Amino acid sequence: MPSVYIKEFPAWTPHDANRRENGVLAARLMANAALTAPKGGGVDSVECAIVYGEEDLERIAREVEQLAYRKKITARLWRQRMFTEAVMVRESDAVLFIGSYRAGETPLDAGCGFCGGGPNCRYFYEGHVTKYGMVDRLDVDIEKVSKRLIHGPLCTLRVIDFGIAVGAAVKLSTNLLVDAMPFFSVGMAGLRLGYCRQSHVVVGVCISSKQKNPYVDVLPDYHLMHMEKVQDTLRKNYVISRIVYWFDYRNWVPKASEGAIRRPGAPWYPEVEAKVEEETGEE
Amino acid sequence: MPVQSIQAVAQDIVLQAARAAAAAAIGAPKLTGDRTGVKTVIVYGEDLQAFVDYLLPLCGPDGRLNTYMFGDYLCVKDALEKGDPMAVVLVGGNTLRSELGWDCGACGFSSCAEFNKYAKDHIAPGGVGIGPGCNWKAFDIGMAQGFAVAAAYQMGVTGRLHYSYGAAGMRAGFIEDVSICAGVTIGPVRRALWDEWYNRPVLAHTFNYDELLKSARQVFPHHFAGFCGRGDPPLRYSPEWQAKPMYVRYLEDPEYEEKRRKAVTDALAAMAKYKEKMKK
Repeated sequence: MPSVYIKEFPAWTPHDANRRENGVLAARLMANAALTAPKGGGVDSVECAIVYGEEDLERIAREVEQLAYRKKITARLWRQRMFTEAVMVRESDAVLFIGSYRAGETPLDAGCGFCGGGPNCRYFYEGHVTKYGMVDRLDVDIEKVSKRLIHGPLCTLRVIDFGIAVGAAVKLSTNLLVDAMPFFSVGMAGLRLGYCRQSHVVVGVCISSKQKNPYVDVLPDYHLMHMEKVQDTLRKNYVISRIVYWFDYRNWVPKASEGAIRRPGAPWYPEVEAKVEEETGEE
Repeated sequence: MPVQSIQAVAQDIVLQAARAAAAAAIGAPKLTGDRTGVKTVIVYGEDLQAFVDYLLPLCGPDGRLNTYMFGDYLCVKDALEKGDPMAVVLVGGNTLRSELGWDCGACGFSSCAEFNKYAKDHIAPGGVGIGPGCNWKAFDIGMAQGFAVAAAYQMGVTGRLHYSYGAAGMRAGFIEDVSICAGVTIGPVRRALWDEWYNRPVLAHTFNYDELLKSARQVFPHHFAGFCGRGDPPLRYSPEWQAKPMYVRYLEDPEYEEKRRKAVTDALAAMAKYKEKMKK
């Protein structure tokens, strides 16, 4: 009888894959929510990419870690944040990248003042090389801009539209009861890897349906202290402790008189319990 | 237990939805943490008159000065005149400075420190907000606005997002210390969700057929260039088109018409002698 069995552990098994597939389904609906969100003038400006699977998530996580090294070693908060968020990518079922393909190219031209102040769009247009009133990246000063994550200035009104879109997508996750968290770091990794093909600014929304939300309640040095690392340490060490004593199970088994057989209610460590009883006076 | 008609409780519903929207805006995740300081203010009842008073001079009483805000003006005015409960949730925040240290380049500067140095001396108001601003703070304000609109929509109450009401709210002092603000309109609960705004009867016949066509003709010739926020689209004639806006007009040119007429006449006259030859 066909059925869909879902269980979180171990990772990457078929029953875990069933769980992850539902995360991709949630990502699809959230992507559409990002598109239907209200935008200035009703103008389309948002594109999405959904990435899932062990190989791709690992690639994104490594790109996030690379962002850590953009700053000096003393920028610990930045570095820790990048490394922690890379772990969160690895613990996700899917990453929904949402990007704005108009923020760096085609402003609304409303003269709103959000980008540079003033009742026109001069700050945007004067910050780029323009021709025919359009942004021309052919003549850009590559020495100046190649080190930047984002080639601004961006049209901030389009950025707000982009924010509204991501907000709508993440709000839907609260209805679907999946865990979702938007990240700047994951977005920049996605931008560099090219997932949102035409966008100049991207945010990555990590999505997961695990029994503990991976995006909250984390430890310091989480890149060393997360579940996968703990499991790996256990796996690395357990076998040694298992094999260090030579025990031929075929020819010998510990005797009942040695304590091998336990009666219900019998103490595990009689000598320890006796000492505790002596010190505290309790049984 | 008395059965209430929906109109009797419309004010309660509208406020309920407005509060849910405001709470959602505060509860939205923030990439910049608490640094953006997203704020919400619910405006309802008589205070909505402030929006009407702000938009009237901007649009003109016939709406010809700014066709796009005219609808916003008429909608609130109509709701107030008919006594239909409505609320506007102002969702805004302050972007004028970046303490993030992300050095991302989105503002056009290579570092937040450079941006802050520039911003300090260049704060100025624009059409609806104040700049210059940090784009990630603006993004967080947008996320909060997205949560607010979605919350209202999910309650089945009409909700739209308008910068016009946001700007009015900022300038009326309803919401303080923000550089970007939008208004999430909640209600009225009179009609179907999407009929509530630009389909409502008060907006019918605000422009006649000729004016609608004129507006369409103004954008077609130069490929819809420019947001015609005032109904008159500016032309991109050079890289500095923003510095000195030039507008499109649709006019008859009698001199050109005369030249064309003469050209056709001259061309036919040039062919006349060949025609004569062919006859023989």
